[in-house]
Amino acid sequence: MAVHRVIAALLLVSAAGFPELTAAAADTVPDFSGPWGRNMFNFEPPDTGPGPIVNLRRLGADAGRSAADGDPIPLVGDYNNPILKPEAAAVVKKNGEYSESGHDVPDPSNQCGAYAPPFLFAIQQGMQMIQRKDDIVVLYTQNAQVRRIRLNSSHPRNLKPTPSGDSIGHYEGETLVVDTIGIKLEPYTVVDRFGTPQSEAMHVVERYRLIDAKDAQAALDRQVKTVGETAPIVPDRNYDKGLRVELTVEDPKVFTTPWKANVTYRRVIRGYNEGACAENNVDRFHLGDLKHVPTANTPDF
Amino acid sequence: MSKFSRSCLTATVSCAVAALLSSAQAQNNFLNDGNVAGLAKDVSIHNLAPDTQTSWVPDRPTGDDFLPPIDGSPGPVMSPKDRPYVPNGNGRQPTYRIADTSNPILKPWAKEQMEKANAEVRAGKVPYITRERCWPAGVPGFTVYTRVQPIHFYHGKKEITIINELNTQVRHIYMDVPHSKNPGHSWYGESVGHYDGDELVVDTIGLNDKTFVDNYRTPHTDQIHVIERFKVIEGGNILQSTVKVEDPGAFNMPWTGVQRWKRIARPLEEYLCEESNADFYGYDVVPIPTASKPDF
Repeated sequence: MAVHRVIAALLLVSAAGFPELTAAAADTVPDFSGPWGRNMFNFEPPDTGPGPIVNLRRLGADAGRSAADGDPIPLVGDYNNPILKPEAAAVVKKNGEYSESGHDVPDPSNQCGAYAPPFLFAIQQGMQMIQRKDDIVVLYTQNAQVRRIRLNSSHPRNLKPTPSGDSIGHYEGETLVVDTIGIKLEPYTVVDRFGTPQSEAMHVVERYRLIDAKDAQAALDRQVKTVGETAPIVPDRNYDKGLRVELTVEDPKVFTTPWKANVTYRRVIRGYNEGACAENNVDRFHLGDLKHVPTANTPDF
Repeated sequence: MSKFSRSCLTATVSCAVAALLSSAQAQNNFLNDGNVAGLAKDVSIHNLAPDTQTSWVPDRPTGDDFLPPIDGSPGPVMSPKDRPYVPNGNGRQPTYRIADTSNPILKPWAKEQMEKANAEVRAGKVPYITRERCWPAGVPGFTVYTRVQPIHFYHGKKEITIINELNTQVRHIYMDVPHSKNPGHSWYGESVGHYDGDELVVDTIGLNDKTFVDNYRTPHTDQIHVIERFKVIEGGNILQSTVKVEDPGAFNMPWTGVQRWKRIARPLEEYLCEESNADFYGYDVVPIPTASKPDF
Protein backbone atom coordinates (compact mmCIF):
# COMPACT_ATOMS: atom_id res chain seq x y z
CA MET A 1 0.00 0.00 0.00
CA ALA A 2 1.37 3.30 -1.05
CA VAL A 3 0.69 4.90 2.30
CA HIS A 4 2.63 2.27 4.15
CA ARG A 5 5.52 2.50 1.80
CA VAL A 6 5.68 6.20 2.29
CA ILE A 7 5.64 5.79 6.02
CA ALA A 8 8.32 3.12 5.78
CA ALA A 9 10.41 5.50 3.81
CA LEU A 10 10.17 7.94 6.63
CA LEU A 11 11.46 5.58 9.22
CA LEU A 12 14.59 7.48 9.47
CA VAL A 13 18.15 7.55 9.75
CA SER A 14 21.08 5.43 10.72
CA ALA A 15 22.67 3.53 13.43
CA ALA A 16 26.03 2.99 11.98
CA GLY A 17 27.40 6.46 12.32
CA PHE A 18 27.43 9.25 9.85
CA PRO A 19 29.88 11.63 8.34
CA GLU A 20 31.19 13.92 10.93
CA LEU A 21 33.19 17.01 10.53
CA THR A 22 35.96 16.39 8.11
CA ALA A 23 39.45 17.58 8.69
CA ALA A 24 38.68 20.52 6.49
CA ALA A 25 36.16 21.91 8.92
CA ALA A 26 37.46 23.97 11.77
CA ASP A 27 37.01 22.80 15.32
CA THR A 28 35.29 26.02 16.15
CA VAL A 29 32.15 25.38 14.13
CA PRO A 30 29.29 23.51 15.77
CA ASP A 31 29.08 19.84 14.86
CA PHE A 32 25.68 19.09 13.37
CA SER A 33 26.75 15.80 11.81
CA GLY A 34 25.00 12.54 12.49
CA PRO A 35 21.43 11.35 12.03
CA TRP A 36 18.62 13.60 13.17
CA GLY A 37 14.95 12.73 13.36
CA ARG A 38 11.56 14.03 14.37
CA ASN A 39 8.31 12.14 14.58
CA MET A 40 5.74 14.38 13.01
CA PHE A 41 4.98 16.63 10.07
CA ASN A 42 4.46 20.37 10.05
CA PHE A 43 6.21 23.36 11.50
CA GLU A 44 6.34 24.00 15.20
CA PRO A 45 5.13 27.38 16.42
CA PRO A 46 7.75 30.07 16.95
CA ASP A 47 8.77 31.28 20.37
CA THR A 48 7.01 34.57 19.73
CA GLY A 49 5.38 36.48 16.92
CA PRO A 50 3.57 35.49 13.75
CA GLY A 51 3.60 31.79 13.04
CA PRO A 52 2.76 29.25 10.38
CA ILE A 53 -0.56 28.02 9.10
CA VAL A 54 -2.05 25.25 11.23
CA ASN A 55 -4.72 22.68 10.49
CA LEU A 56 -8.20 23.82 11.39
CA ARG A 57 -9.27 20.23 11.55
CA ARG A 58 -6.71 19.37 14.20
CA LEU A 59 -8.40 21.05 17.05
CA GLY A 60 -9.89 19.77 20.24
CA ALA A 61 -10.17 16.02 20.50
CA ASP A 62 -8.67 15.52 17.06
CA ALA A 63 -5.50 17.40 17.84
CA GLY A 64 -3.24 14.52 18.68
CA ARG A 65 -4.68 11.80 16.49
CA SER A 66 -2.04 9.60 15.01
CA ALA A 67 -0.86 10.34 11.52
CA ALA A 68 1.08 7.12 11.32
CA ASP A 69 -1.28 5.14 9.15
CA GLY A 70 -2.41 7.85 6.88
CA ASP A 71 -3.60 11.14 8.23
CA PRO A 72 -7.33 10.63 8.72
CA ILE A 73 -7.99 14.29 9.02
CA PRO A 74 -8.27 16.61 6.04
CA LEU A 75 -5.57 19.20 5.70
CA VAL A 76 -7.48 22.41 6.12
CA GLY A 77 -5.17 25.33 6.64
CA ASP A 78 -6.25 28.19 8.83
CA TYR A 79 -7.02 30.72 6.12
CA ASN A 80 -7.78 33.30 8.82
CA ASN A 81 -4.16 33.44 9.91
CA PRO A 82 -3.26 37.14 9.63
CA ILE A 83 0.03 36.37 7.93
CA LEU A 84 -1.92 35.64 4.74
CA LYS A 85 -2.71 38.28 2.17
CA PRO A 86 -6.28 37.99 0.92
CA GLU A 87 -5.35 36.25 -2.32
CA ALA A 88 -3.24 33.73 -0.45
CA ALA A 89 -5.98 33.19 2.12
CA ALA A 90 -8.37 32.37 -0.71
CA VAL A 91 -5.93 29.78 -2.06
CA VAL A 92 -5.52 28.17 1.35
CA LYS A 93 -9.29 28.08 1.80
CA LYS A 94 -9.79 26.52 -1.62
CA ASN A 95 -7.10 23.93 -0.99
CA GLY A 96 -8.67 23.06 2.33
CA GLU A 97 -11.96 22.44 0.60
CA TYR A 98 -10.17 20.32 -1.96
CA SER A 99 -8.62 18.25 0.80
CA GLU A 100 -11.94 17.90 2.56
CA SER A 101 -13.42 16.55 -0.65
CA GLY A 102 -11.00 13.65 -0.41
CA HIS A 103 -8.21 14.87 -2.68
CA ASP A 104 -4.60 15.68 -2.17
CA VAL A 105 -3.32 19.14 -2.82
CA PRO A 106 -0.23 18.75 -5.02
CA ASP A 107 3.00 19.27 -3.18
CA PRO A 108 6.62 18.31 -3.78
CA SER A 109 6.13 15.12 -1.78
CA ASN A 110 3.21 13.68 -3.65
CA GLN A 111 4.49 14.93 -7.00
CA CYS A 112 8.04 13.60 -6.61
CA GLY A 113 9.36 17.11 -6.88
CA ALA A 114 12.25 18.88 -5.23
CA TYR A 115 11.74 19.91 -1.62
CA ALA A 116 12.79 23.48 -1.07
CA PRO A 117 12.60 25.29 2.20
CA PRO A 118 10.32 26.01 3.91
CA PHE A 119 8.24 23.05 2.68
CA LEU A 120 10.97 20.51 3.29
CA PHE A 121 10.84 21.25 7.01
CA ALA A 122 7.12 20.50 7.09
CA ILE A 123 7.56 17.03 5.64
CA GLN A 124 11.05 15.65 6.15
CA GLN A 125 11.52 13.74 9.37
CA GLY A 126 15.04 12.45 9.02
CA MET A 127 18.13 14.22 7.87
CA GLN A 128 21.88 14.15 7.98
CA MET A 129 24.22 17.07 7.45
CA ILE A 130 27.65 16.64 5.92
CA GLN A 131 29.67 19.66 6.97
CA ARG A 132 32.71 20.57 4.97
CA LYS A 133 34.89 23.63 4.85
CA ASP A 134 33.19 25.26 1.91
CA ASP A 135 29.82 23.62 1.74
CA ILE A 136 27.26 21.57 3.57
CA VAL A 137 25.36 18.76 1.91
CA VAL A 138 22.12 17.78 3.59
CA LEU A 139 20.61 14.37 2.96
CA TYR A 140 16.93 13.93 3.71
CA THR A 141 15.31 10.55 4.08
CA GLN A 142 12.09 11.03 2.19
CA ASN A 143 12.61 10.53 -1.52
CA ALA A 144 16.37 10.68 -1.02
CA GLN A 145 16.41 14.43 -1.32
CA VAL A 146 19.79 16.11 -1.37
CA ARG A 147 20.55 19.75 -0.85
CA ARG A 148 23.80 21.69 -1.12
CA ILE A 149 24.52 24.84 0.84
CA ARG A 150 27.52 26.90 -0.20
CA LEU A 151 29.33 28.40 2.75
CA ASN A 152 30.62 31.95 2.93
CA SER A 153 29.34 32.62 -0.53
CA SER A 154 26.81 34.96 -2.06
CA HIS A 155 23.77 34.49 -4.23
CA PRO A 156 24.50 34.92 -7.92
CA ARG A 157 23.53 38.32 -9.23
CA ASN A 158 21.47 36.88 -12.06
CA LEU A 159 20.13 33.88 -10.24
CA LYS A 160 18.12 31.48 -12.33
CA PRO A 161 15.40 29.95 -10.15
CA THR A 162 15.57 26.22 -9.56
CA PRO A 163 13.15 23.92 -7.74
CA SER A 164 15.41 23.75 -4.68
CA GLY A 165 16.47 27.37 -4.77
CA ASP A 166 19.92 28.77 -4.08
CA SER A 167 21.16 28.26 -0.53
CA ILE A 168 24.16 29.91 1.05
CA GLY A 169 25.30 29.67 4.63
CA HIS A 170 27.70 30.91 7.24
CA TYR A 171 28.38 30.35 10.91
CA GLU A 172 27.61 32.95 13.52
CA GLY A 173 29.28 31.56 16.60
CA GLU A 174 27.42 28.38 17.48
CA THR A 175 24.68 29.01 14.92
CA LEU A 176 24.60 28.03 11.27
CA VAL A 177 22.64 30.55 9.20
CA VAL A 178 21.32 29.46 5.81
CA ASP A 179 19.76 31.88 3.38
CA THR A 180 17.69 30.64 0.43
CA ILE A 181 16.17 32.51 -2.50
CA GLY A 182 15.56 31.68 -6.14
CA ILE A 183 13.01 28.94 -5.63
CA LYS A 184 11.41 28.13 -8.94
CA LEU A 185 7.66 27.94 -8.89
CA GLU A 186 6.53 24.55 -10.04
CA PRO A 187 2.84 23.69 -10.26
CA TYR A 188 3.24 21.89 -6.96
CA THR A 189 5.38 24.43 -5.09
CA VAL A 190 3.79 25.16 -1.72
CA VAL A 191 4.87 26.38 1.68
CA ASP A 192 3.27 23.62 3.70
CA ARG A 193 0.98 20.62 3.56
CA PHE A 194 -2.03 22.92 3.50
CA GLY A 195 -1.21 24.26 0.07
CA THR A 196 -0.18 27.72 1.24
CA PRO A 197 1.14 29.36 -1.91
CA GLN A 198 4.41 31.12 -2.38
CA SER A 199 5.87 33.40 -5.02
CA GLU A 200 9.23 33.79 -6.66
CA ALA A 201 10.00 36.34 -3.95
CA MET A 202 10.17 33.61 -1.29
CA HIS A 203 13.10 34.14 1.06
CA VAL A 204 13.87 31.69 3.84
CA VAL A 205 16.45 32.00 6.57
CA GLU A 206 17.28 28.92 8.63
CA ARG A 207 19.18 29.20 11.89
CA TYR A 208 20.56 25.90 13.23
CA ARG A 209 21.82 25.46 16.76
CA LEU A 210 22.29 22.63 19.20
CA ILE A 211 19.99 22.58 22.21
CA ASP A 212 19.62 20.36 25.22
CA ALA A 213 18.18 16.97 24.33
CA LYS A 214 15.56 17.33 27.05
CA ASP A 215 14.37 20.60 25.58
CA ALA A 216 14.26 18.99 22.15
CA GLN A 217 12.19 16.11 23.44
CA ALA A 218 9.81 18.49 25.16
CA ALA A 219 9.32 20.38 21.90
CA LEU A 220 8.64 17.16 20.04
CA ASP A 221 6.17 16.05 22.69
CA ARG A 222 4.30 19.34 22.45
CA GLN A 223 4.16 19.09 18.69
CA VAL A 224 2.89 15.52 18.73
CA LYS A 225 0.01 16.63 20.90
CA THR A 226 -0.84 19.21 18.30
CA VAL A 227 -0.35 17.45 14.97
CA GLY A 228 -0.21 13.75 15.82
CA GLU A 229 2.70 11.38 15.52
CA THR A 230 3.73 9.81 12.26
CA ALA A 231 6.32 7.18 13.08
CA PRO A 232 8.13 6.97 16.40
CA ILE A 233 11.81 7.77 16.45
CA VAL A 234 14.39 5.91 18.46
CA PRO A 235 16.42 8.65 20.13
CA ASP A 236 20.02 8.09 21.06
CA ARG A 237 19.74 8.47 24.82
CA ASN A 238 23.49 8.80 25.14
CA TYR A 239 23.51 11.94 23.04
CA ASP A 240 22.63 14.95 25.11
CA LYS A 241 22.03 17.42 22.33
CA GLY A 242 19.08 18.12 20.10
CA LEU A 243 18.93 20.31 17.01
CA ARG A 244 16.74 23.36 16.66
CA VAL A 245 16.13 25.08 13.35
CA GLU A 246 14.46 28.46 13.51
CA LEU A 247 12.90 29.43 10.21
CA THR A 248 12.14 32.95 9.11
CA VAL A 249 9.91 33.07 6.07
CA GLU A 250 9.40 36.16 3.98
CA ASP A 251 7.36 36.47 0.83
CA PRO A 252 5.81 39.92 0.49
CA LYS A 253 3.63 38.82 -2.40
CA VAL A 254 1.93 36.21 -0.25
CA PHE A 255 2.39 37.18 3.39
CA THR A 256 1.56 40.36 5.23
CA THR A 257 4.57 39.93 7.46
CA PRO A 258 7.64 37.78 7.89
CA TRP A 259 6.80 34.84 10.11
CA LYS A 260 8.77 32.27 12.02
CA ALA A 261 8.58 28.59 12.82
CA ASN A 262 10.69 26.10 14.72
CA VAL A 263 11.73 22.64 13.66
CA THR A 264 13.25 20.36 16.27
CA TYR A 265 15.20 17.13 15.93
CA ARG A 266 16.72 14.54 18.20
CA ARG A 267 19.73 12.39 17.50
CA VAL A 268 18.32 9.06 16.39
CA ILE A 269 19.77 5.60 16.09
CA ARG A 270 17.50 3.92 13.60
CA GLY A 271 18.70 2.77 10.24
CA TYR A 272 18.56 5.02 7.23
CA ASN A 273 15.68 3.79 5.19
CA GLU A 274 15.31 4.58 1.56
CA GLY A 275 12.58 6.52 -0.11
CA ALA A 276 12.04 5.97 -3.79
CA CYS A 277 9.39 8.42 -4.81
CA ALA A 278 8.57 6.66 -8.03
CA GLU A 279 7.89 3.50 -6.09
CA ASN A 280 5.75 5.13 -3.45
CA ASN A 281 3.71 6.97 -5.96
CA VAL A 282 3.38 4.36 -8.61
CA ASP A 283 -0.34 4.06 -8.15
CA ARG A 284 -1.04 7.62 -7.38
CA PHE A 285 -0.68 9.04 -10.81
CA HIS A 286 -2.23 6.25 -12.78
CA LEU A 287 0.86 5.97 -14.87
CA GLY A 288 0.18 2.34 -15.49
CA ASP A 289 3.33 0.47 -16.29
CA LEU A 290 6.19 2.79 -15.47
CA LYS A 291 8.41 0.81 -17.72
CA HIS A 292 6.29 1.83 -20.65
CA VAL A 293 7.82 4.65 -22.52
CA PRO A 294 5.15 6.63 -24.29
CA THR A 295 5.51 7.97 -27.76
CA ALA A 296 5.76 11.69 -28.11
CA ASN A 297 4.42 13.45 -31.16
CA THR A 298 7.16 15.98 -31.25
CA PRO A 299 10.80 15.79 -30.35
CA ASP A 300 12.11 17.49 -27.26
CA PHE A 301 14.41 19.77 -29.16
CA MET B 1 11.28 10.72 -35.87
CA SER B 2 14.89 9.76 -35.85
CA LYS B 3 16.19 7.22 -33.42
CA PHE B 4 18.24 9.97 -31.88
CA SER B 5 15.16 11.94 -31.11
CA ARG B 6 13.33 8.93 -29.81
CA SER B 7 16.12 8.01 -27.49
CA CYS B 8 16.44 11.54 -26.35
CA LEU B 9 12.80 11.68 -25.45
CA THR B 10 13.68 9.28 -22.74
CA ALA B 11 16.63 11.11 -21.33
CA THR B 12 15.92 14.69 -21.86
CA VAL B 13 18.61 16.49 -20.01
CA SER B 14 21.39 14.12 -20.87
CA CYS B 15 20.46 14.26 -24.47
CA ALA B 16 20.15 18.01 -24.51
CA VAL B 17 23.68 18.29 -23.26
CA ALA B 18 24.86 15.60 -25.59
CA ALA B 19 23.21 17.16 -28.59
CA LEU B 20 24.72 20.53 -27.93
CA LEU B 21 28.17 19.11 -27.77
CA SER B 22 27.96 16.20 -30.13
CA SER B 23 29.35 17.91 -33.16
CA ALA B 24 32.16 19.65 -31.35
CA GLN B 25 33.18 16.75 -29.19
CA ALA B 26 32.23 13.77 -31.22
CA GLN B 27 34.54 11.35 -29.57
CA ASN B 28 34.55 12.14 -25.96
CA ASN B 29 32.50 13.39 -23.16
CA PHE B 30 29.71 15.73 -22.69
CA LEU B 31 30.64 18.14 -20.00
CA ASN B 32 33.14 20.80 -19.49
CA ASP B 33 35.57 19.27 -17.04
CA GLY B 34 35.81 22.52 -15.16
CA ASN B 35 38.97 23.95 -13.75
CA VAL B 36 40.71 20.65 -13.16
CA ALA B 37 44.03 22.40 -12.75
CA GLY B 38 42.61 24.24 -9.77
CA LEU B 39 41.70 21.11 -7.86
CA ALA B 40 43.46 20.11 -4.68
CA LYS B 41 46.45 17.89 -5.32
CA ASP B 42 46.00 15.49 -2.45
CA VAL B 43 43.28 13.27 -3.81
CA SER B 44 43.56 9.67 -2.66
CA ILE B 45 41.34 6.71 -1.96
CA HIS B 46 41.10 8.01 1.59
CA ASN B 47 39.88 11.36 0.38
CA LEU B 48 38.14 11.37 -2.97
CA ALA B 49 36.81 14.85 -2.31
CA PRO B 50 39.70 17.01 -1.11
CA ASP B 51 37.77 20.08 -2.28
CA THR B 52 34.17 20.93 -3.05
CA GLN B 53 34.78 20.81 -6.78
CA THR B 54 36.12 17.31 -7.25
CA SER B 55 33.69 14.84 -8.71
CA TRP B 56 34.03 11.79 -10.89
CA VAL B 57 32.44 11.07 -14.24
CA PRO B 58 32.79 7.98 -16.46
CA ASP B 59 35.86 8.37 -18.60
CA ARG B 60 34.31 7.29 -21.89
CA PRO B 61 31.12 7.76 -23.92
CA THR B 62 30.00 4.23 -23.09
CA GLY B 63 30.50 4.86 -19.41
CA ASP B 64 27.19 3.25 -18.62
CA ASP B 65 28.65 -0.11 -19.67
CA PHE B 66 30.89 -2.15 -17.44
CA LEU B 67 34.32 -2.81 -18.84
CA PRO B 68 35.31 -6.47 -18.88
CA PRO B 69 37.90 -7.69 -16.37
CA ILE B 70 41.46 -7.49 -17.57
CA ASP B 71 42.31 -11.05 -16.62
CA GLY B 72 39.77 -12.61 -18.96
CA SER B 73 37.68 -14.06 -16.17
CA PRO B 74 33.89 -14.17 -16.48
CA GLY B 75 32.66 -10.69 -17.23
CA PRO B 76 29.55 -8.59 -17.60
CA VAL B 77 26.91 -8.89 -20.25
CA MET B 78 27.81 -6.70 -23.19
CA SER B 79 26.53 -6.11 -26.71
CA PRO B 80 26.78 -8.86 -29.32
CA LYS B 81 29.39 -8.07 -31.94
CA ASP B 82 26.79 -7.80 -34.68
CA ARG B 83 24.78 -5.21 -32.77
CA PRO B 84 27.10 -2.91 -30.83
CA TYR B 85 25.71 -0.35 -28.47
CA VAL B 86 26.23 3.16 -29.76
CA PRO B 87 25.45 5.94 -27.28
CA ASN B 88 24.03 9.18 -28.45
CA GLY B 89 26.03 12.33 -28.68
CA ASN B 90 29.08 10.92 -30.38
CA GLY B 91 28.30 11.64 -33.99
CA ARG B 92 27.03 8.20 -34.93
CA GLN B 93 23.58 6.74 -35.13
CA PRO B 94 22.77 5.74 -31.56
CA THR B 95 21.26 2.37 -30.77
CA TYR B 96 19.38 0.83 -27.93
CA ARG B 97 21.10 -1.99 -26.20
CA ILE B 98 20.79 -5.60 -27.27
CA ALA B 99 22.24 -7.98 -24.70
CA ASP B 100 24.65 -10.74 -25.64
CA THR B 101 22.82 -13.57 -23.98
CA SER B 102 25.48 -16.07 -24.94
CA ASN B 103 27.41 -14.89 -21.90
CA PRO B 104 27.91 -18.04 -19.82
CA ILE B 105 27.28 -16.26 -16.55
CA LEU B 106 23.52 -16.23 -17.16
CA LYS B 107 21.19 -18.77 -15.62
CA PRO B 108 18.58 -20.06 -18.08
CA TRP B 109 15.74 -17.99 -16.64
CA ALA B 110 17.78 -14.84 -16.82
CA LYS B 111 18.82 -15.61 -20.36
CA GLU B 112 15.23 -16.28 -21.39
CA GLN B 113 14.00 -13.06 -19.82
CA MET B 114 16.70 -11.04 -21.52
CA GLU B 115 16.08 -12.61 -24.91
CA LYS B 116 12.47 -11.52 -24.68
CA ALA B 117 13.58 -8.00 -23.96
CA ASN B 118 16.07 -8.22 -26.83
CA ALA B 119 13.30 -9.27 -29.18
CA GLU B 120 11.23 -6.28 -28.18
CA VAL B 121 14.11 -3.92 -28.85
CA ARG B 122 14.79 -5.56 -32.20
CA ALA B 123 11.12 -5.06 -33.01
CA GLY B 124 11.51 -1.35 -32.39
CA LYS B 125 10.24 -0.96 -28.86
CA VAL B 126 11.93 1.54 -26.62
CA PRO B 127 13.55 -0.48 -23.85
CA TYR B 128 13.35 0.08 -20.16
CA ILE B 129 16.32 2.03 -18.91
CA THR B 130 16.35 2.50 -15.18
CA ARG B 131 17.66 6.04 -15.04
CA GLU B 132 15.18 7.26 -17.61
CA ARG B 133 12.21 6.07 -15.62
CA CYS B 134 13.37 7.65 -12.35
CA TRP B 135 13.92 4.37 -10.57
CA PRO B 136 16.74 3.69 -8.14
CA ALA B 137 19.84 2.08 -9.57
CA GLY B 138 20.62 -0.44 -6.86
CA VAL B 139 24.00 -2.10 -6.62
CA PRO B 140 25.91 -2.63 -8.83
CA GLY B 141 23.59 -0.73 -11.16
CA PHE B 142 24.72 2.48 -9.44
CA THR B 143 28.13 1.94 -10.98
CA VAL B 144 26.82 2.20 -14.53
CA TYR B 145 23.82 4.45 -13.90
CA THR B 146 25.21 7.60 -15.40
CA ARG B 147 27.18 8.56 -18.48
CA VAL B 148 27.23 12.29 -18.11
CA GLN B 149 26.53 13.37 -14.56
CA PRO B 150 29.31 12.82 -12.02
CA ILE B 151 29.33 10.98 -8.74
CA HIS B 152 30.41 12.75 -5.56
CA PHE B 153 32.11 11.29 -2.48
CA TYR B 154 31.75 12.53 1.09
CA HIS B 155 34.13 11.05 3.62
CA GLY B 156 33.12 10.90 7.23
CA LYS B 157 34.70 9.16 10.17
CA LYS B 158 32.18 6.35 10.15
CA GLU B 159 30.59 6.57 6.75
CA ILE B 160 31.36 7.35 3.17
CA THR B 161 28.40 8.78 1.30
CA ILE B 162 28.31 8.56 -2.47
CA ILE B 163 25.87 10.71 -4.39
CA ASN B 164 25.19 10.00 -8.02
CA GLU B 165 24.16 13.37 -9.32
CA LEU B 166 21.89 11.77 -11.89
CA ASN B 167 18.53 11.53 -10.16
CA THR B 168 20.34 12.21 -6.87
CA GLN B 169 20.92 8.63 -5.96
CA VAL B 170 22.52 8.22 -2.54
CA ARG B 171 24.59 5.35 -1.17
CA HIS B 172 25.76 5.02 2.41
CA ILE B 173 28.91 2.99 3.04
CA TYR B 174 29.30 2.23 6.74
CA MET B 175 32.97 1.90 7.51
CA ASP B 176 34.66 -0.74 9.62
CA VAL B 177 31.50 -2.39 10.85
CA PRO B 178 30.11 -5.84 10.09
CA HIS B 179 26.88 -6.41 8.25
CA SER B 180 23.85 -6.38 10.48
CA LYS B 181 22.22 -9.70 11.24
CA ASN B 182 19.05 -8.92 9.38
CA PRO B 183 19.71 -6.25 6.79
CA GLY B 184 16.43 -6.92 5.02
CA HIS B 185 16.10 -6.05 1.35
CA SER B 186 16.17 -2.58 -0.08
CA TRP B 187 17.11 -0.72 -3.24
CA TYR B 188 20.65 -0.06 -2.10
CA GLY B 189 20.97 -2.86 0.40
CA GLU B 190 23.50 -2.61 3.17
CA SER B 191 27.02 -1.55 2.27
CA VAL B 192 29.93 -1.86 4.65
CA GLY B 193 33.45 -0.80 3.79
CA HIS B 194 37.04 -0.86 4.83
CA TYR B 195 40.39 0.13 3.46
CA ASP B 196 42.71 -2.56 2.19
CA GLY B 197 45.99 -0.82 1.46
CA ASP B 198 45.30 1.63 -1.32
CA GLU B 199 41.89 0.20 -2.04
CA LEU B 200 38.48 0.94 -0.62
CA VAL B 201 36.56 -2.32 -0.37
CA VAL B 202 32.78 -2.13 -0.21
CA ASP B 203 30.65 -5.20 0.49
CA THR B 204 26.95 -5.01 -0.25
CA ILE B 205 24.13 -7.42 0.57
CA GLY B 206 20.46 -7.02 1.41
CA LEU B 207 19.44 -5.84 -2.04
CA ASN B 208 15.96 -6.27 -3.42
CA ASP B 209 15.43 -7.89 -6.81
CA LYS B 210 13.77 -4.91 -8.45
CA THR B 211 16.82 -3.55 -10.20
CA PHE B 212 19.04 -4.69 -13.04
CA VAL B 213 22.77 -5.04 -12.61
CA ASP B 214 23.44 -3.10 -15.79
CA ASN B 215 21.78 -1.34 -18.70
CA TYR B 216 21.40 -4.59 -20.64
CA ARG B 217 18.47 -5.53 -18.40
CA THR B 218 20.46 -8.28 -16.72
CA PRO B 219 18.32 -9.37 -13.77
CA HIS B 220 19.38 -10.58 -10.36
CA THR B 221 17.81 -12.01 -7.27
CA ASP B 222 17.88 -10.84 -3.68
CA GLN B 223 20.75 -13.25 -3.07
CA ILE B 224 23.09 -10.91 -4.89
CA HIS B 225 26.36 -10.06 -3.16
CA VAL B 226 28.55 -7.33 -4.56
CA ILE B 227 32.14 -6.53 -3.64
CA GLU B 228 33.58 -3.34 -5.04
CA ARG B 229 37.24 -2.45 -4.86
CA PHE B 230 37.86 1.24 -5.54
CA LYS B 231 41.32 2.46 -6.38
CA VAL B 232 42.80 5.77 -7.50
CA ILE B 233 45.14 5.37 -10.45
CA GLU B 234 46.90 7.40 -13.11
CA GLY B 235 48.21 10.01 -10.75
CA GLY B 236 44.89 10.69 -9.13
CA ASN B 237 43.10 11.39 -12.39
CA ILE B 238 41.17 8.14 -12.58
CA LEU B 239 39.08 6.28 -10.03
CA GLN B 240 38.66 2.62 -10.86
CA SER B 241 36.23 0.18 -9.34
CA THR B 242 36.51 -3.54 -9.83
CA VAL B 243 33.10 -4.97 -9.11
CA LYS B 244 32.66 -8.64 -8.28
CA VAL B 245 29.12 -9.92 -8.46
CA GLU B 246 27.86 -13.16 -6.98
CA ASP B 247 24.28 -14.32 -7.21
CA PRO B 248 23.62 -18.04 -7.29
CA GLY B 249 20.01 -17.26 -8.13
CA ALA B 250 20.80 -15.50 -11.38
CA PHE B 251 24.36 -16.31 -12.36
CA ASN B 252 26.20 -19.55 -12.98
CA MET B 253 29.39 -18.11 -11.59
CA PRO B 254 30.77 -14.98 -10.01
CA TRP B 255 31.68 -12.38 -12.57
CA THR B 256 33.59 -9.13 -12.56
CA GLY B 257 33.03 -5.78 -14.20
CA VAL B 258 35.17 -2.68 -14.13
CA GLN B 259 34.24 0.98 -14.10
CA ARG B 260 36.50 3.98 -14.52
CA TRP B 261 35.71 7.58 -13.68
CA LYS B 262 37.86 10.60 -14.44
CA ARG B 263 38.28 13.44 -12.01
CA ILE B 264 36.54 16.66 -12.97
CA ALA B 265 35.85 19.98 -11.29
CA ARG B 266 32.14 20.27 -10.78
CA PRO B 267 30.25 20.72 -7.51
CA LEU B 268 27.07 18.86 -6.77
CA GLU B 269 24.16 20.21 -8.74
CA GLU B 270 20.45 19.82 -8.39
CA TYR B 271 18.90 17.07 -10.48
CA LEU B 272 15.27 16.16 -10.52
CA CYS B 273 14.32 13.11 -12.53
CA GLU B 274 10.60 13.45 -12.33
CA GLU B 275 10.67 17.02 -13.48
CA SER B 276 12.84 16.20 -16.44
CA ASN B 277 10.55 13.46 -17.52
CA ALA B 278 7.21 14.80 -16.51
CA ASP B 279 6.72 17.39 -19.17
CA PHE B 280 7.44 15.41 -22.23
CA TYR B 281 5.33 12.31 -22.11
CA GLY B 282 1.88 13.60 -21.57
CA TYR B 283 1.67 11.98 -18.16
CA ASP B 284 -0.99 13.46 -15.97
CA VAL B 285 1.41 14.03 -13.13
CA VAL B 286 1.14 17.72 -12.58
CA PRO B 287 -0.53 19.94 -11.71
CA ILE B 288 -3.41 18.03 -10.18
CA PRO B 289 -3.08 14.44 -9.01
CA THR B 290 -6.04 12.13 -9.12
CA ALA B 291 -5.19 9.83 -6.30
CA SER B 292 -7.99 8.35 -4.31
CA LYS B 293 -5.98 8.03 -1.13
CA PRO B 294 -3.84 10.49 0.76
CA ASP B 295 -0.18 9.84 1.33
CA PHE B 296 -0.43 10.13 5.06
